[in-house]
Amino acid sequence: MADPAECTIKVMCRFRPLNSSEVARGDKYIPKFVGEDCVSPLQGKPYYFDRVFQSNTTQVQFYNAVALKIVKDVLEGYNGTIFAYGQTSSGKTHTMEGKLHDSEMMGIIPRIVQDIFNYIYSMDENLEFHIKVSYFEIYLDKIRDLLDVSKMNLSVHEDKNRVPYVKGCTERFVCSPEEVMDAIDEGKSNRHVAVTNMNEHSSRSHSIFLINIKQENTQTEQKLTGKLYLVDLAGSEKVGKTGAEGTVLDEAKMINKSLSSLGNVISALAEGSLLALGADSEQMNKMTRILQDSLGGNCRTTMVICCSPSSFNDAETRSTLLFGQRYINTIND
Amino acid sequence: MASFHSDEWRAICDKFNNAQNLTEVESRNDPENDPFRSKYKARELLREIYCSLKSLEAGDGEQDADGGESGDQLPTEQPVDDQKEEGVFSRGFSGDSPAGKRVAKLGAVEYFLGVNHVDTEELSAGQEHLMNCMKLLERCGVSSENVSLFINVRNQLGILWAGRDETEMAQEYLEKAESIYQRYMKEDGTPPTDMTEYFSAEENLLTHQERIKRFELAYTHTMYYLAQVYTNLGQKERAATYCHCTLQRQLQLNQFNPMEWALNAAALSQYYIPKGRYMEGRHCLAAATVVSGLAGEVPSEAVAQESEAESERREQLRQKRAEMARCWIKYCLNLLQDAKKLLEVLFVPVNENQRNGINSSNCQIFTLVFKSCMKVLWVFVQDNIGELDTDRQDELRRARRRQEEEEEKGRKSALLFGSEDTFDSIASVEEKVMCLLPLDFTEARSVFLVGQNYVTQAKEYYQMDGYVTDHIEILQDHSALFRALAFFEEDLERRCKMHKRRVDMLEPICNDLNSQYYLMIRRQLMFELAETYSDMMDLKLTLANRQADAQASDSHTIKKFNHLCSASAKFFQMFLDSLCSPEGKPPEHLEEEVLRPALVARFRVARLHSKLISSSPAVQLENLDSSLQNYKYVVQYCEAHPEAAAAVETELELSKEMVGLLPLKINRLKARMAANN
Repeated sequence: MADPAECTIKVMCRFRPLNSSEVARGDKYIPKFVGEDCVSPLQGKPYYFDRVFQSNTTQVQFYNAVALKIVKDVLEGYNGTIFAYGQTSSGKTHTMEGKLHDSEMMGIIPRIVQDIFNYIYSMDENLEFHIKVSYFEIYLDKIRDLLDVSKMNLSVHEDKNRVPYVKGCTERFVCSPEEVMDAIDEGKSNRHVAVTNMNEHSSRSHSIFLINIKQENTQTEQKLTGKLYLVDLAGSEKVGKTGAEGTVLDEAKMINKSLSSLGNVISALAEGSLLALGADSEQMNKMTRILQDSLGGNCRTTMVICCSPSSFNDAETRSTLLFGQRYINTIND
Repeated sequence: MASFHSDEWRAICDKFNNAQNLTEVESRNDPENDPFRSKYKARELLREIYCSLKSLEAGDGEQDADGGESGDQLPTEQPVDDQKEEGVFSRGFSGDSPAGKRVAKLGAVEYFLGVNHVDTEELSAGQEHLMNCMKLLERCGVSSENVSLFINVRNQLGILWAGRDETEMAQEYLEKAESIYQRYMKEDGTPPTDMTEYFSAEENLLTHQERIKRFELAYTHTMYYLAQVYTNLGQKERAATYCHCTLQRQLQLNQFNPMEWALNAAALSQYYIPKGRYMEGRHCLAAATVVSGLAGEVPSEAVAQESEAESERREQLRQKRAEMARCWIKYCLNLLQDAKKLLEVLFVPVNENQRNGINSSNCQIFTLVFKSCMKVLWVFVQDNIGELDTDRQDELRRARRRQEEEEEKGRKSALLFGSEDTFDSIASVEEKVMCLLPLDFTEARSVFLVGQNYVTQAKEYYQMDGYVTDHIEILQDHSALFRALAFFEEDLERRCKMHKRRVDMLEPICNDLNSQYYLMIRRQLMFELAETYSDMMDLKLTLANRQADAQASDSHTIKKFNHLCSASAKFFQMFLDSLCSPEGKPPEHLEEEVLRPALVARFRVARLHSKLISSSPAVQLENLDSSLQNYKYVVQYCEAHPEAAAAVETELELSKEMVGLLPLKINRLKARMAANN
């Protein structure tokens, strides 16, 4: 897909600390860290990532290591994507959002937004900036505009002059960090509207927040556009309780009960050859096409996986680590 | 036995219906912070039913020797292992006897409890109940009263063990379910009691038809689960067969959604096609085409504009049919390409084969020969690689006819799709395109035309404006169809025209596409255009050589030749330029994906420049210089990166030669130029 020389994809893993109720309950702290890039859960094999962050990592440290460079690149006209993956108790929300108005505790997203605007404010007055945001989700191969709920079935459009884009999606111009955060809040609340089973929904839908930064030098007329995609990946919210057995559930081996997934089973047989058909591949196809310019040439992509250190969440943690590992393997193939 | 009309019994039945309702209906409304609320309630009811049943039994006093706690007094005590075929069908007492019926009821409750626990993620408890059900059933033989339970409990245990990554255990249970079904259908076949009927009043019992429908659906699931298990075990072939069976059953039993079924059948064809199994692939595609028609007409634009639902339906149908058209394109393309591969070996002289790395012991040939089902050719290939004369062509055709007859006879009717309505339609779609490798131009052309027709269909939906990537993939397939067909065309002029069609199709697109966003695709197109122009150039050369010598250096021909030569070089150079940095600097290190193409492109540019014809010595010199530079690059890069040498062995060898020879040629030319001044 992407020419590796032009594209860098990193996988970062972060463990949160045990919270007070976990400590009170007597939960064990299971991850063992080796160096800066390796972690192994209790009695498990080691997992290697580009970086592994321990529980004492601060928000600032994490941001600097993970997102800072991406923001710089976007402001220089490149595209960047940050994927986030983590189950309910993993600390993903804290990592991605944190306490929005607390300068120490805020997460990646508010910092990105602030950095962008700080950069803009500090720039030459000859530079004109146009920032617009979009927010949409992909669920069961339908794309839904989260800033305008009447748009329920958008499609990915490609023409020869433009990279694939979501046609008809709201693009809202913003002039301040507050306006960006407001858009995020609005989209999130819209996500919950008209969805009967929220867990099932969010466990199967991806949401994408796009910040599009165009800069024009009024003197030289040079134009630059950079896009930053913030992708919240599906599969992060798990319905029901954790596996009572504490065994690792290798999702790939589980049997799908419903005949509606027959297409996926067949596609898996034919995988790698000719055309891939089937619902899940539709979803991945849509996302891949939208993120194409991020994944194909001149891009910076980071995957952040968040884990809980508690023995109580052992099964979820393992499946998250496995997910991150698979992602690394897919990239390197 | 408690009277079926007693109040207690009625209470039990009501409770059961309640439990079912909670499980199937109410549970969908459970809030997200208490997702199993209804199922927990259902569980309580089921437990109560179990206790009531037990106490009813006890109240009756046991009339036969199967009472709960009081040990087994069965005449034929069998060990716990119930995997023995005969045991299940004929041991213990009959499933239809009162004792058998009692066992079935208890077993059913255990079954539903088991499923309940599994659904609420309590696997151990689930397993326990399911195993209790198995143990209860051990005591009786299979009969219409309980066969559904026999099969469903094994389906569930299969799922459970697969979830624990114990695939072989899952396999055992599911294969047992399979054999129970097959034997039951063979020896009995009466519509079996459905598990929900154990607690139904007389008047609410199901019709025969409904019973069969549910029973068959359970077995379809068995097939489906086995397909997944075989996939997990890496037995792809078996998995494909079971997917095929699942699809077949869905069609026969009329339990399918047309578009979904059609897409699945089309997907299955994409499993068979790369394996060269064109008969199966064609069958899947033909069935897909016919069944997709059952989904109805595509709503017109006018209708679509009136309602959201119609608009969506129109979109869905159009898109899915276009996807199926693309599967057909792949079918035709692969068929032509495989035929070409086979014939290339047989019809091309030995030394050329050797140059292309093909020789008589090449495994590819063997596989191709078998893939095309031309087993008779095996001997042929071994003895007679070389140019085949007409006698041998006839031999080939005779072999083909023999094979066709064999296939007609051996046609696996078990794997045919269809119901009474559709068998004929499917066959008539199949008749439109062949499934054996085409051997001459007429046959190849017929396959080509089918493929081209589907290209048109697919492009209707996947238009450039909106679906750039898909549209271009379709064009690339179209170009490949032409390329494959050209191989069969004996007239060189016409062959050239086919290549021209490819150029006309792809060149405008390549030039139009935004180079920043469509980098990868443009590279593919550039390379293909470069090679196509090269092929055309070679053809022109051959044509020119064939004409009488008097006409040898016609200036028009030379101009044409040079044009093609430069065009080819231009596109190879474009490809190379696309690898450079924005400032135009070539990469120090070539990444794996682009290594071979980049070096080959350099090599070809070198070669093309040396072929350009010019009467001006100065121009000749320029061309030779450029040629030399490019050959040098290849040699130097491979010296600096030894691992690259393996990727371009032949080209490297030739490059080294030329690096040695060209300087001499250049010097001679310079000397001549100096002498003439």
